[in-house]
Amino acid sequence: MKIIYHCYGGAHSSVTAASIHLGLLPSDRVPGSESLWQLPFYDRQGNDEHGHFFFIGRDEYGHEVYFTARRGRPVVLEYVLKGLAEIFEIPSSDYLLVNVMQNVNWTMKLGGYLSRRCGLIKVGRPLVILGTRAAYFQIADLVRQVKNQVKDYSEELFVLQRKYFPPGSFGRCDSYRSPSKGRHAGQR
Amino acid sequence: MAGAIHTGLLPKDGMPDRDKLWKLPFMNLKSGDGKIISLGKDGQGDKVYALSVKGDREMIYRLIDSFMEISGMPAGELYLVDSCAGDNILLLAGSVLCRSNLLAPLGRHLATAGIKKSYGRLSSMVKCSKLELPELRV
Repeated sequence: MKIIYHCYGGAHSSVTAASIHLGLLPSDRVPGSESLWQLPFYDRQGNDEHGHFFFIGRDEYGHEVYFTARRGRPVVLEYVLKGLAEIFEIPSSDYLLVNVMQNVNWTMKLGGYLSRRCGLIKVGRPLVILGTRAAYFQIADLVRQVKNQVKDYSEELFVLQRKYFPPGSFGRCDSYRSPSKGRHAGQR
Repeated sequence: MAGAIHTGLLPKDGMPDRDKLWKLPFMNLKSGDGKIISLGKDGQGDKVYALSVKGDREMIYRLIDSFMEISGMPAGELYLVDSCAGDNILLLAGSVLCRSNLLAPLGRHLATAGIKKSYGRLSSMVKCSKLELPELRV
């Protein structure tokens, strides 16, 4: 199965989700800023790469993990892929689209805009990292759900397109207060 | 429409009557962004489809190319032809107005005028595409 995480710009939330999926980032604590900076695709993708599927690796079940940018058009992505799959008789269980955009907070949006759109990397990148860390557990929860559903996948496919998760808020991640439910405080 | 001309659903030598045009099942200007519509087969057995997207076409091209690549589909299996309908102001205005039930009749009027304006160009484009297809099959 091909698991495709997608978001607006394909530079932050989808990269984070895909990295958590493959174990490049921890799923039980918020990583430090350096861990996010060091990801090869984090805050890197330009507008001229939107739409391209970037392969990031295979998970422990053998599923291929990708991420992509689709700007503000998740439904178009779903329709186009579904249409192509029907044309070329690709089983719908061969791919899974996961919309990560519901977990993106305003800090990430502003930081991403400043960094990717305006080119103000020195200002935008720290801001988007801050927002990513705030939304981290929501993204990790989404990845956990995806992994639970695909590890025993059959011919029936779940398309996690419009499932709503409350976005993370600035200053409310477990790094700033006592961790709950067995979570570990992240590094600062 | 270009696809319909290609498969013979629409005549290549002139626009059909307005009533006949709007009765065609794919003449839905209200919705369908991203949906791939089947228009049948041409004389050579090639399947023809239509895809309508707003905004940046390049992103959609990359999306399609990427999906084909990761699915293991050969590059020559799909031939994308841009109808360049985005620069037809009458058609764009008509499609916007058609979304409103109140303004739909005006929208159809404008859209029909836009289609009439671009019909000859679409027909020529289809003719050129058909000539290029045999070279792509080699």
